[in-house]
Amino acid sequence: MGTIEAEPVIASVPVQRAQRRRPRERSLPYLLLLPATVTVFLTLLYPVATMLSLSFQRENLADLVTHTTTWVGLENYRTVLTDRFFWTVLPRTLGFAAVCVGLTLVIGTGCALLLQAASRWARTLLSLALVAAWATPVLIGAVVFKWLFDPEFGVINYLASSAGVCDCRHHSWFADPWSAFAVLVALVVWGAVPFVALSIYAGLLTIAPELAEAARVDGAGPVRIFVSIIWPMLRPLYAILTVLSVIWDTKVFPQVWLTTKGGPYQGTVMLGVYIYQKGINNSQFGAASTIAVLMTVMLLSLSWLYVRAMRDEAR
Amino acid sequence: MRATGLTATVAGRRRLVDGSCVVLALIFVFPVYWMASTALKADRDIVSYTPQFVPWPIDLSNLRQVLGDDTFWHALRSSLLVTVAVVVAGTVVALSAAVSLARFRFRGRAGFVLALIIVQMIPGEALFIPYYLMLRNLGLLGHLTGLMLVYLSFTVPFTVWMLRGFVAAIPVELEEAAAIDGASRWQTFWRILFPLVAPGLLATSIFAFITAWTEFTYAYVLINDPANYPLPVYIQSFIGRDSTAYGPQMAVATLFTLPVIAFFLVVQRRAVAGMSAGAIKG
Repeated sequence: MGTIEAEPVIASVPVQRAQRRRPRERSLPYLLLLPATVTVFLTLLYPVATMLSLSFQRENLADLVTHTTTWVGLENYRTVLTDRFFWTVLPRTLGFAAVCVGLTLVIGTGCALLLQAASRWARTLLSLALVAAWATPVLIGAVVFKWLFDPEFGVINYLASSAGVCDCRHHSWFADPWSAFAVLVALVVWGAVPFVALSIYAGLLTIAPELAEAARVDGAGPVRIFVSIIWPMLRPLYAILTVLSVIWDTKVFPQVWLTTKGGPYQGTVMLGVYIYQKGINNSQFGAASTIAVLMTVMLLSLSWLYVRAMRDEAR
Repeated sequence: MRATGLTATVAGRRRLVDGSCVVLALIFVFPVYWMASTALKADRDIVSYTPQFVPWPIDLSNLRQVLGDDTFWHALRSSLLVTVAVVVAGTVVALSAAVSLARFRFRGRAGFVLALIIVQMIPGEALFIPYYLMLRNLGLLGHLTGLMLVYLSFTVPFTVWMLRGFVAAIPVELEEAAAIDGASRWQTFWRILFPLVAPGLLATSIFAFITAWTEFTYAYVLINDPANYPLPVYIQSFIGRDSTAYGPQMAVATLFTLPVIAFFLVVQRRAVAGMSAGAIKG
């Protein structure tokens, strides 16, 4: 409480007093910003700088232990960009993200339209279920899906076999890259739909019901109403949701690592896992940083699109 | 005739819509339900070719096993330490920055705001190699301090951004009135601004809590000492080379998720209120 007494009183400050306070006053906002600046710069910009400089160095375990720095110019970039596996992993990551984003937006839109059309009780039920899925942490979603799709005792194999969809008792979803991908897509889409669905639903509520009503009177069907009224009005929202989803679905390290670990036979390795394997498992810190730089550049350009979409919506 | 036919199709359509909602709700909630129900089953019902859909009679053996495990309590302690540190330090750091940005005009202000936006776009997933090396050089690899710093840097930019909005929304006249009545700067802040910005602090604290509590990648990469495992890494540790101990894993997962869902509902209710406010306008 001593600080309060020590502080000079501002009350009805005469002009001269105010001027005398000036130097301190001027440094106050900077002082208040100092902790945040230190936090952000030391723990975010410094690693970014380290990552950039590492991408131009040969840095393996021996270099790390002996503290030697060997600059190799663009060699890491040459190695990575001529690495056949990198050219498998990159399109795979982007393709995976594209499939997930597409499914998320379609299912999310479907859920939003259903929420709008449903009775009150059904709407409450679906939104509660969506919030439950949304609130589930990514890592928990991943371990639970691994359990759902367990080859021996997983409930999915049991349900699919009992329903006659397939004879998949003892079927291992993670033994084949394509079915492993199917599980990963299901996991990511399950986690991503709630946010998208509830955002689109909130967007739908901002559209005056009279518009759709008028169109219906003029004989427009639901598809026409969506294409001609809802889509044009919600386009900025869709732009934002698309960019955010692409960014999120490109960064899927926990989902992959906790289910397939990149297997079988490296078949589900995506950029995040590749960086981990190269950097942490093989101690090729230089090459791993190079991949990380490329990934950062890719995601930053996407974020730039996001900011533009935000600005367009604000307009 | 035509009128009743129309009513019938409308009712039929409504039933179809409601039915689809129920099916979708079941699909979305099922993984969560299956996690919780597995946590409440005996091992013989978990490792069984005919799954037991309702965990009845409730069996607490897996929960009891986890709660009797010292590793669980160590992991809980690590997670709480990191989370509380991030929430408290993050709030202090971010609130002071937010007040500075919202209440003062000074050179470099616009630049700082721009930097804040750019910094938020840096993907954390690409940065674990430099963090790993930095903390290794500092001898902090495996220590929770390193993890706290990483999570702070992830949460502070967004928290400053959010709080700046909350502070700016409070009329500055209130503070001026207090100043005229003889309150010091500190008193104005503590007695006027702070209580008014408290809802914003609750929201940002929940955001920081959820981020720090549930983050997996960095916890996994940076904490290699089992004695310091936070809960996410502990949950991962049930995955064995050949098989996974699903019973205890789902028990921990359930305990781990409960506070997240609870906090989520606190924020969500306000978000839904906002949504319905928008609905009335339409």
